[in-house]
Amino acid sequence: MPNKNSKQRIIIIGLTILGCLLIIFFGLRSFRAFQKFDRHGPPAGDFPEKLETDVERVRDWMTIPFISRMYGVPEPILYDALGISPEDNHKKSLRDLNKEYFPENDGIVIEIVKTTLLANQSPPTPLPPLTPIPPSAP
Amino acid sequence: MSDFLLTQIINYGAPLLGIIVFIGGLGIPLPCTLLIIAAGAFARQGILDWQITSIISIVSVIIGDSLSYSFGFYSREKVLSRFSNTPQWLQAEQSFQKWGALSIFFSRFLVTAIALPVNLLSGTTRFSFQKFLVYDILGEVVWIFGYGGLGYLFGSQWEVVNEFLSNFGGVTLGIVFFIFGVRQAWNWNLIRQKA
Repeated sequence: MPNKNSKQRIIIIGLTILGCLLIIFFGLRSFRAFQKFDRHGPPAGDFPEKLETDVERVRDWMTIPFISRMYGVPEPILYDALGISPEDNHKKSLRDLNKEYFPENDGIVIEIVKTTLLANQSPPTPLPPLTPIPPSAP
Repeated sequence: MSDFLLTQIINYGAPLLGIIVFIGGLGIPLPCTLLIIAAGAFARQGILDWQITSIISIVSVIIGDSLSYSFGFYSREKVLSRFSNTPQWLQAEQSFQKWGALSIFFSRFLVTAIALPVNLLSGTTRFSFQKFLVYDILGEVVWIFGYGGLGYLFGSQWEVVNEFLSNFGGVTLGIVFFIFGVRQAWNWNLIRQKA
């Protein structure tokens, strides 16, 4: 019986300590994530989303057709920049394309894609000129 | 794993997402929450149709959850042969009848790590399947529309949302363990004082 009690005590203490550790560990990570979350408000704009312009959002799991749609840059331009044909490659991620066509240059595909996107993005829509507000009458 | 699945979802769309959340519902650990948030963002970008995706996902995950309930249901005899009539088992059964509905609801989206044990326990303790289904559907609807909706709202910035929510899930799990530990210690202390 005392053996059973001590086993139960160990489990209870272990669970409580584990709970505390999880709260501290994930609490700190949540706080850091929340700070980032707070800086990135939901993007204003139309649904479906207007074209992305920030090339830092390109990830190596993305495919060329996906990136083309996301940034509004035609697929042939991206394939030409990489020097590969769209055939059999349109479902491959940038990482897989890198492994297959540039095995010696890790990360080169994502860099080429980013540079190509920057060079081929459509110019931003100009903002309407500011209209001066007339001073209110006294 | 997450990157591979993201690539496949942009290639094969909602049917693949349905298969993944179905497998997740069976208890195989897959990054389903991340994929749901990403699917919301893909819907905003026009890659996925949000109506079809949400219907397929909800139906698939509910089938997966129901199957894992049935695993618990049909393994009752084995579990009983091991724990039958022990005070711990009777206490667990009583507690589950009392708290089961809330456990089912919140484990669908807030503490997803305990979703599988909750499904199995629901079946093993013979928690009413109709009640299980109602709370399962409610929880999964919150999961798909809540998390997917955040992905939709944040669009291409969905990774920030995912980072926050996945860490917050860890905090919630910690709180559950902590409260459970303190409650057991409290009960244990009361029993010792009475003895």
